Amino acid sequence: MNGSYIPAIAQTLTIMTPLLLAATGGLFSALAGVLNIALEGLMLCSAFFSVVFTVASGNLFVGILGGILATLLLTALFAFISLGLRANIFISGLATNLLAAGLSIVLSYAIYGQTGSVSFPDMPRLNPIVVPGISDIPILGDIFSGQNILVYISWIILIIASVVIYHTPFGMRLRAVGHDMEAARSVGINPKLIQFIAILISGFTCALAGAMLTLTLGAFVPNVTSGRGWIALVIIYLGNRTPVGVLIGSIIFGLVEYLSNFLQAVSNLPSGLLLAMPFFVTVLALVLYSILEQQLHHRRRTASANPSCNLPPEDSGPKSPASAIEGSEARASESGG
Amino acid sequence: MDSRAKSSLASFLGIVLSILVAFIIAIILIFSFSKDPGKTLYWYFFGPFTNPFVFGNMLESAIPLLFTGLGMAVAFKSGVTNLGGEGQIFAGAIMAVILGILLPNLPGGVGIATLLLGGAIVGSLMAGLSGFLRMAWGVSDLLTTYLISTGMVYVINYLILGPLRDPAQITIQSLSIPAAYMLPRLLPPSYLHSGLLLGLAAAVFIWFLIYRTHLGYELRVAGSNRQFGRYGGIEVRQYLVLPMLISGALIGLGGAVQVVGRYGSCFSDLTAGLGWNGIAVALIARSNPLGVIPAALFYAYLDAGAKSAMINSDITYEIASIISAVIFYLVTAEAAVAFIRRRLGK
Repeated sequence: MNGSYIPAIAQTLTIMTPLLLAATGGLFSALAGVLNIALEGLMLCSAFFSVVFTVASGNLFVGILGGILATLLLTALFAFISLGLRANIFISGLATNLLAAGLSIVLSYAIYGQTGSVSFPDMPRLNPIVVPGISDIPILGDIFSGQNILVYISWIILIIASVVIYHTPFGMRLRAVGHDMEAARSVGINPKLIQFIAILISGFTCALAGAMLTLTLGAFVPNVTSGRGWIALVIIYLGNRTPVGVLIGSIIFGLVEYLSNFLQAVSNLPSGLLLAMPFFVTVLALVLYSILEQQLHHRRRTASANPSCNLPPEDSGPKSPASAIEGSEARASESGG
Repeated sequence: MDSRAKSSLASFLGIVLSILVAFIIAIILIFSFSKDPGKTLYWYFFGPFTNPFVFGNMLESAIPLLFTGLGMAVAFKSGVTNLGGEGQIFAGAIMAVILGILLPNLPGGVGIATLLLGGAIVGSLMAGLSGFLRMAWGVSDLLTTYLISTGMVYVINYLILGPLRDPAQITIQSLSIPAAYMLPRLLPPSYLHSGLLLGLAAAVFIWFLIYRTHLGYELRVAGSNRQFGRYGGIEVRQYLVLPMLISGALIGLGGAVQVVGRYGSCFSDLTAGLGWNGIAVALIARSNPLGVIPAALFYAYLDAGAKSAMINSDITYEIASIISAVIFYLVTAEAAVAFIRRRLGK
C-alpha cells in the first residue's frame, strides 16, 4: 500500500467541497420546504463573479466577497420572484440557472471580449494552507493539512449549520415551516420570511462553492459547475435532510467524482463515459434510497396495522416536486374570481 | 364576461405583459452592452425580416421548438415533470444518425420514417424510465429526468467524438445519413424544411389527443388532481408513465427531425438549449398544444433576433438566454396575473 491512498483521500476532500457547501446551504431551503433547483445557477454566478473581482482587485478576499455579493443579489431576485410574485419556484429556479449561464457569458464577452474559457495566469489562486500542528502528524497531516481555506470553511459551516438547525429558535422555525406551513403561521411564524432567509443562506454557501471551483483553477470556464448544483440537491435528499447525511452524501459523491477523474488519467476508458458516471450513479442512489424508504414505510405501516391508510406512499408522503408544479398550474387556472 | 373567460383573458394579458417586460429588459441590455445601440436594436427586432433567407431560417428554428414545446406541454398538462429535454432531443438525433448509417439502402420515404420513429422511441424510453421510477418507487421525476439526460449527453458526445466521428470533416461531427433520407427544403436557399408541416401536424394531433379523446381526458384529470382522479375511478398510476412516454417521444422526434431536416449528422451543439427553451414555449402557450405553435414562432423570433444582432452588430448571442430567463420569471408570476384579474373585475 505504502500510503498511496492518502493523496486520494486528500483529493476527495477537495473535490467534495463545492458539493458539501452547496448541499449545506441547500439543506436550509430544503428544510424550509423549498426544493431549490437554482443551486446550480447560484454556484455558476459566483464562479464567474469571484474571478472578475479577484482579477480586478488582485486580492482573493475581495474576489470572494464580490462573488458572494453578486450571488446574494441573484438569490434575492430569485427568492423575491418565487415568494413575492408567487411565481412557480421550479420555473423561476430554472430561470435563475439560465440567467446565470447567459449573464456570465454576456458579461465575459463585454469585459474580456471572449465567450469561451478565459484564463488568468497571473491572478491569485486559492493555495493549500499548511496547518501548524496537524501537518506534522504522519497520515492525518497529509490528509487534513494542505487543503485550501474554503475546504476548512466548508467544515466550519457544516458545524454551524447543525447547531443553527437543531439548537436555535431560527432552526426550529425553519423546520416548523417546512413541516407544516399553516401550523407555523398559526403560531405567529412568518413562513415567507423564513423561506426567504433560507434561500439567501443557500445562495451564500453556493457562492463559496462557486468561488472554490474557479479560484483554484485561475480561470472562468462557461458552465464550470456542470451539474454539481443538481447533484448537491440530490445529496440533500439522500442525506435525509440532515447535516450528517449531507456530509456522508458529499463524501460519496466526492469519491465518485474522484474515481471518474482518476480513471480518466490512468485507464483507457473514454473520458466521455467517465464524465457520465456521476450522473448515472446518482440516479441509482436515488432509486435505491426510494426503495429502501418505501420498504421502511411499508414495515411501519404493517406494524401499526392501520387499515385505512393503504394509499401508495407517493400520495400519502410529502408533496413531491412534480405534484407541486402541477398544483400551482392548477391554481393558476382555477382561482378565477 | 363570465369568470372563466375573464380568468383566461387575465392569463393571456399576463403573458403579454411578461413579454413586454422581457423586451424592455432586452432594450436595456442592448443599451448597456452595445457601443451602437441603435444599430443593435434594429438588427435585434427587425433583423429576422430583412430577407427571405433569414426569415426562412427563423421559421426553421421554430421546428424543433414545436416538438420540444409540445413534449413539455404534455408533461405539464399531465402533472409530470420532464427536465430531460436536452438529453432526449440529443438521443433522438443520434439515434436517427445511427439508423441512417446502419440502414443506408431503404427507399427514401421508408428510411425517413424509420429514422423519425427511432428518434421518437429512444426519447420516449428515456423519459418513460423516469416515469416508471416514479410510479414504482416514488423517485422524483424532476431529478431523474435531469440526471439521466445529463449523463446521456456525455455518452452521446463520446459517440460523436469516437466511434461515430466522421474523419473526413474538419469540424467534429458524426457521420452523415444518406442524402435520400433528407426532407425536402421549402424555401431555398434558407434551411426551412418540410419538418415544419410535421411539427404543425403533431400540434394538431396532440391537441386532439388531449382535448378530444377519453385518454386525454383521463390524462388531464390525473394531471390536475391525482387524488380526485383516483376517486373518479381512473387508474392514475399509469398516468405517471404514459405522459412521460408521449413527452419523450415528441422531444426525441424533434431531435430526429433536426437530423433528417436540417443537419444530416449530429454534433455537440445540436441541442443548444432546445430542451430548456421547450419549457419556455410550453409555459408561454399555457400548455395548450395549439398555443405551442405561436409560442414556438415567437421564441424562434427572439432567437433569430439575437443571432442577427450578433452577426450584424456587437453583442453576443447569449443575450437571448437572459431574455428567456426574464420570460420564465414573469410568465408564471401569479401575483401579476392576480393583479390583472382584479383590474378586469372592476
